[in-house]
Amino acid sequence: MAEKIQKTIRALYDGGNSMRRRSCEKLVDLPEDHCLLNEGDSKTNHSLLHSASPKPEKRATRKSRSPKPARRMTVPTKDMDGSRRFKWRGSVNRIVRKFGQGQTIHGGTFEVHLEDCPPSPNNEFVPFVVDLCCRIVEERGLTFTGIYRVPGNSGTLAALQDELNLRGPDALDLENDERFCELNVVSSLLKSFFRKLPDPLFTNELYDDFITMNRKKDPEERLNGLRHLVHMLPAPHYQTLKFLISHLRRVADNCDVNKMEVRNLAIVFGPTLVRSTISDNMATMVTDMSDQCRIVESVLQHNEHFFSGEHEEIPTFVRSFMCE
Amino acid sequence: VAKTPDRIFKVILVGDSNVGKSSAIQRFCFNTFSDDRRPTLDITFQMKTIVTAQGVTSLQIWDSAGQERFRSVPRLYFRKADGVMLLYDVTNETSLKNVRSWISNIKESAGNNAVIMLLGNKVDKQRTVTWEEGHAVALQCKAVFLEISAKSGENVPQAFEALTRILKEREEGDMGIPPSTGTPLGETIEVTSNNRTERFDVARL
Repeated sequence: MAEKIQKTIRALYDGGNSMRRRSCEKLVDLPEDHCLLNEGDSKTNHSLLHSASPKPEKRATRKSRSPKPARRMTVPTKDMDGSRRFKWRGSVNRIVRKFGQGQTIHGGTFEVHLEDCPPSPNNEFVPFVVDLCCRIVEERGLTFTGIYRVPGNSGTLAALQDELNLRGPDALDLENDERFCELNVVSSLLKSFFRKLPDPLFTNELYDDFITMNRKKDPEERLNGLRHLVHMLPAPHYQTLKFLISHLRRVADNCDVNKMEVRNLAIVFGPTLVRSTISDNMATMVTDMSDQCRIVESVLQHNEHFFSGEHEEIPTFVRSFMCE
Repeated sequence: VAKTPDRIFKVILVGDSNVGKSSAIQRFCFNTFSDDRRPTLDITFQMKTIVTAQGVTSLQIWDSAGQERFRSVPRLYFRKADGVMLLYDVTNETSLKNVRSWISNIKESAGNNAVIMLLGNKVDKQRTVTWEEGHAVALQCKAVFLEISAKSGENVPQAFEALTRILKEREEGDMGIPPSTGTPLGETIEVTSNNRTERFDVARL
């Protein structure tokens, strides 16, 4: 089966440039039950992905848990005291509702590979938790001073992570869970997710290339080289980075209020996103730290250049998600 | 007159991101304050010499990065530190709640050797954490407690001086030298903040 898919995807890719093809092959190497395979298999069926398509047998039986009945949503327009504290619920509910349609997702969220995380219902390549945290921050946190810099309560954070890992995102009562009202917890959760990835967002494989390219003297060569490397990232990494960067951009656009300009966000996210779990020692931490920040700073600063379509050889089934 | 310090103590500042660790050091060492500090990246240190009636002491003050990614870094320094200044932000309750996890972190790597000082920073602002709340946590953790403001400079030198005094007396006690100061060992040291005088039992710290 895998061979057939590989062929299908190759065909899709023919004419595309080699580095995109490379990242695609990476996807195909994934275990059989990976959602991409089932979806890539029939490119004409990609609409299925959005409806409540049954997950493959293997996935469903991994944990024998009876499917949850669809949750009934009552969306209070105002809080008890009439305040608009839960204004963000609307869009968060959209996520919950999609999960309520019989799509039960199992598997851990933290300390697992990016492609194995429960995906967001809005973008197959972006993990659920990333989408959720960014959404909450965008609805309530864009004007919050020191967002992403100030950490949340470490106990709450640990509990939330355990719950997400053991019970999965659909077991959380996003609507009533007070913990999601604490912006510092939400922003710490997002950082923690990226910090715990076994293969960091900028990947172990490309880590050294990124650092070397960042040290190039010629600014144009450096920027184009970094962009080239970003496009070499495997699709889930690329899509998640694109999603995260456009989110951080919106945070930085409000920097006169939240005081988190591009530079500050880069300091906070650089060492979290660009790192290597292979050579994670004090020495590299110190020598590469400024490079790690500068890379993220450049991507943030020139996000349009980095993610522009020009040579975005993204397969059609991926593109269909992005148009949503 | 050039003064040679007769003691050098290593002090490390830790605490959540954005509580004002770098600002406190900047205030103490250079007596300045900048409003738009960036998050600290790596570990840096400053030297500052304190001259008291009891002699000349040098402090090697280490600044650490508060970002979660760097949580493992200060641990390497705890073992060598004589004193740990643990900061929280009196305008942010979470930063006081996280003090407990910092304390267990310190105890794990430093044992019970380092003197811990709990400092509530930003008292110039509208506070949400009371003096009593901070004090209660400090009592539980057997830490010296003070409230400071890196912006106005309130209590910043006092904090460093009190820590130096405690370290000196403890060291002299350890070495069996009769204390050179007026405070005999096992008695208390007084720290005044907000017109409240706190007594700390040096031997207990």
